[in-house]
Amino acid sequence: MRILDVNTAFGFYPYRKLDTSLETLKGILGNYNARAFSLSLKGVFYDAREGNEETLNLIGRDNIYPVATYDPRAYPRDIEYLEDLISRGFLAIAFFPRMQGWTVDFAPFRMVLDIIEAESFPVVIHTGGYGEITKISILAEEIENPVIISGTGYSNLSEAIAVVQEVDNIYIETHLLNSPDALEFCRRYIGIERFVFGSGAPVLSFETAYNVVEKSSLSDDDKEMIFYKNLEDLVGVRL
Amino acid sequence: MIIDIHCHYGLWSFAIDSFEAEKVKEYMDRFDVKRAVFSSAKGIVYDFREGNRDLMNFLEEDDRFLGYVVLNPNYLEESIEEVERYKENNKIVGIKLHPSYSRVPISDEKTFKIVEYFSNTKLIYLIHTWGVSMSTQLARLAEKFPDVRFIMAHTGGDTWSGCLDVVRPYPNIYVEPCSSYADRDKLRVSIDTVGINRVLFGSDFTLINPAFVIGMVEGGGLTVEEKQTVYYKNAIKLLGGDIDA
Repeated sequence: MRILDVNTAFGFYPYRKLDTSLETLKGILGNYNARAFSLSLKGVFYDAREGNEETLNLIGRDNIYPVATYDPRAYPRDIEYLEDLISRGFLAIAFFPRMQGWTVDFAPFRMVLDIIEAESFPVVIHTGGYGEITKISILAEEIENPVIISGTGYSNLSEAIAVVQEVDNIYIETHLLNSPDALEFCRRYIGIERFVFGSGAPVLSFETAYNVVEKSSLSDDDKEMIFYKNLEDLVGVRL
Repeated sequence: MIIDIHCHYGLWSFAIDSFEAEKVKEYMDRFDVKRAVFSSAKGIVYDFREGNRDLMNFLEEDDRFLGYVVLNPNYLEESIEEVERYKENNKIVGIKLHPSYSRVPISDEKTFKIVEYFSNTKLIYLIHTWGVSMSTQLARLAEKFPDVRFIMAHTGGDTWSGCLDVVRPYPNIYVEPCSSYADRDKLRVSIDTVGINRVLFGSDFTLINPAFVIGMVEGGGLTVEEKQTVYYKNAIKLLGGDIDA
């Protein structure tokens, strides 16, 4: 089964001693012959511009594709960097409100979305907690980019289902779909077309994310859609 | 083969379907779970006695089902009566405490009184443990009752690395890794910190998909022997050894 993972990262991990190097990520992906979107953790934990440059410099285009990031806490510093991300090779942009401690109704984030709306690529938002997905849905209605929500688990699955039912450009990344039958449950209410595979590797277990889809009772066609087809459709190319 | 020492029976307050006995059995077959130890979700989040009654009926549905009696230390006398009511049931292996839902800290004297009251039994305690503070409270409890066996559910949650250091000196504290976040290194660090003989398989099924912890075991850099020990060997020793491998 082909796999395209929308949620990986590499670099230094400060929260505990853990090898999250690009080499380790490549090794994990290699075990499954998977391809991935990825970005440097430097851009998440420290400085987006430095991180984005590192992402572009270190990632080859064979199996790993670069994702940009921006930290709205630094707005408007380096905001001009966001104006031509696609031409520099980025396939998506990711934001980390949960890790960085801001909420998605943060005014600088709205300014950032206004700028990147000119780029048609997916916007990935790593979030959590009640109400955040609802706030994302309000923002998503104002832009045309596909908005991929990462951080949907058993506690906020109802919220994810509700916003997918209401807003056409919202998609759900799978790594935290932790309740049994989560995919089967969602399929019944909103279908499988709006799910894209993500693992959180190498911080989180790729095997876990893979098992959640592979060990589900979905059909092989549904699994293919989640593992790579839906994301390929979003970025508009066959990777 | 897996022995899952952290499972639940009953509906949750989330967007999750109800898992009745037939569906539970299907899941156990899917993941090769030979024994699973359940506590009542209703008992944890609402009425422990009503939940325990539901659980006892459920446990009769399959030989592979075992159970914990859920207690709420806010109701101390009733909790003791509840254990007296069910402790001779050969399906019951222990007691489940959830200090977050009951809002009774592990360090509360009511928790200590319950453990003291049943300290001459072989009942095992599965205690929801989240954070270094709760882990420290569990360590004090285990220190006070060195012959009682405690399972630290979730290995302390998202600060599990520090929590492992807290409980390392207490051989009567076992750890199990389930959590919403499937940290890649959690099993490896757990084994290296407290020793292979104190790490159990627990999934939090029916709240959490067993695929989560299985993925953590399979991708955690464990040897085949270590995987077997975590999947079932330690649980066989803990539960009494009457299970075919």
